[in-house]
Amino acid sequence: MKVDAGIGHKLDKIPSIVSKLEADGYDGVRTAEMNHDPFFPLLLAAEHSEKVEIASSIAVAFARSPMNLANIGHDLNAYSKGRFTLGLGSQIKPHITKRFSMQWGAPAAQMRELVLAMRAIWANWYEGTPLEFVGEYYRHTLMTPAFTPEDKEYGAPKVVLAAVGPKMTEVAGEVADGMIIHPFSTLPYINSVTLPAIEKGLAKAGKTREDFELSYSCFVVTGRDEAEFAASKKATQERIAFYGSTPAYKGVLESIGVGELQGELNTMSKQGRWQEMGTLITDDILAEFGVMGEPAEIAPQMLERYGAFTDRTSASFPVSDDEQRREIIQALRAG
Amino acid sequence: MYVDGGVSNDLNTVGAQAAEMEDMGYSGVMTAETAHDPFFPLLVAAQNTQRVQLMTSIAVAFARSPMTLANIGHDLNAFSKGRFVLGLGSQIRPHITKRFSMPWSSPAARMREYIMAMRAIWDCWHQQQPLEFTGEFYTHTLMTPFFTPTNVDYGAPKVFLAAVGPKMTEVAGEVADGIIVHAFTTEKYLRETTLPALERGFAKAGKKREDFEISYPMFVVTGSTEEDLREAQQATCQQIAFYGSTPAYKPVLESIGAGDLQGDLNTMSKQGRWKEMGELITPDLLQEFAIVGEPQNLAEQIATRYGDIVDRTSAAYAHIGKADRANIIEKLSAV
Repeated sequence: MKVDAGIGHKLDKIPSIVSKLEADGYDGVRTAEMNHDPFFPLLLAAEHSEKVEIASSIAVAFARSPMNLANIGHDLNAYSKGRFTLGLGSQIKPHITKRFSMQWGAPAAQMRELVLAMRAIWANWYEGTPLEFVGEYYRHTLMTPAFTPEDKEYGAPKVVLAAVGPKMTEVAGEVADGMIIHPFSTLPYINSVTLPAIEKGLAKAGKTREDFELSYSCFVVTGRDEAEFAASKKATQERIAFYGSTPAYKGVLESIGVGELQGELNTMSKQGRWQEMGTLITDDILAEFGVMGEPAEIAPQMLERYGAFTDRTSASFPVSDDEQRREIIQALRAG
Repeated sequence: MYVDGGVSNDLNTVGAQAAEMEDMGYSGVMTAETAHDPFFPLLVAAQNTQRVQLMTSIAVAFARSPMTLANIGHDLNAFSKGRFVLGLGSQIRPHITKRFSMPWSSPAARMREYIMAMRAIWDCWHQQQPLEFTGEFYTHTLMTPFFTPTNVDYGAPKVFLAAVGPKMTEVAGEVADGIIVHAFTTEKYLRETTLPALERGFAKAGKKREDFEISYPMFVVTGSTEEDLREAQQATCQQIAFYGSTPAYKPVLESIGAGDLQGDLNTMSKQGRWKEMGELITPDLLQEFAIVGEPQNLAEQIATRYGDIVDRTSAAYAHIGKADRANIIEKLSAV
């Protein structure tokens, strides 16, 4: 299992952060898109590293033109000598329309088209295929030599999608090179919804599971001592309760027979009772969302439970002891 | 007068190039948006310089959401400690709709709203104003603390706007911090069309000329030898003829009583007679568009003709050596 780590968005800190992560043995580094451009840190990460993979996880797809993303993807992949993965997510409608002032349609269909549009652009740039992409959401029919990148050695980056529901998951299987499973997932949900939907998508495109990379970052509760463990457990319970309050994620709670919890959490969230919400996440529920134990037990548990389908993880390991954390990473990478 | 120069979009070399230009005395380094992302080279340049301004000249505004551009502008300005200038241009309809798959309509009105939308976003981030931008073309009404940058020391970048026609020029005067005048401009057009349009824009916004920068990348025909000079002259004439064939630029030719030429050039361009077209640009016409002379007297000529109206120039001194270039920059910087 490959292990990735986040690098944040503080541009002046990126060089030292990335050097340390590379030295620690991580396979990849990644950024999320929150209050900063998600690609600038990756450019600096590429400049200040030799071998780690770099990825957005995720950038907001619908906030951008496929042409723009194709260009960014090309440039980062060329500069990093093929180490870039463009991780995309849909975000939700209010953020696309009211924050980004961009169009939102049927998200799975729109995402499918966006990825296909980028692939059409890349095929035009790298193989000279005429650019004649006419879809429902995107149209790209104009390209001239002046706008065609000349540095084609490394071609297109890998594209992976973040998905929760079966439709978006199937789209990932069909048109993407990999998928990021939401941390708010349970093994029953992954086995009954996620993996079958991926297989459906792969079948549509005539691909096999080996062509596809699955990233899953379960919740990890651990610590170097009792106090650290307790803090980690409480934070995880609150995080799970926060996700559980979202109506769209009810299916995940249903997968472990606690669907009714969603309504309760939602009501409490509207009353701002965040800490109290965490107490509703019992040890049994917590165990469904990840692994819990001494630092030395974490990697074996993760490998046993998730190793069969997880190609890479960016789970965070809340252990303040660097050596213990390195041991977890090494054990996962060896497994 | 500030002197800016273009930098390469090669991410492997742009750092050293920008550092060398800073040493030579350039005030700004600029990227254009053609086959690559226009912001990545400036991030690398920022790392390798301390003083020069980092400018896009230009990035295609309508290819992006004002929100992503506001974010990019914020990040580059913060990382460069206030040295970023976001130069924007509209491009033309086919490139926006058929290359970028983005909306196009009434470009001057849309650009005005675009820049105002970015300013509303920056006011929200930097001055805690509520985000309530509802325009004809763009809507930005959603912002949460999670998506708000926290490093607000350097605030918003300056925004420059590329404009040729009076409408876009007026918009630049009203909502931008500077204008990038097209190289295909005559002194008469600049004084009789551009300046009055800018003044109308200033008046609308209650701004003064001193609050605003005029950047004019004039054609310069020069060379260290007779042969270099002849070559430069021929190349510039062909370039002028190429621009002159564009119907939208007819008013520029009309400013010097050569409006008829536009039709001839347009016809010839459709027949592919590019070389012959250059021959229609007589030495008199060339004088209207370009500064022609030996390296040692270029600075005086530029200062005499444009010293009273142009704040920055970005002449491409391709045909002269480094020492002569540094000398011109030094003389112009003193104007």
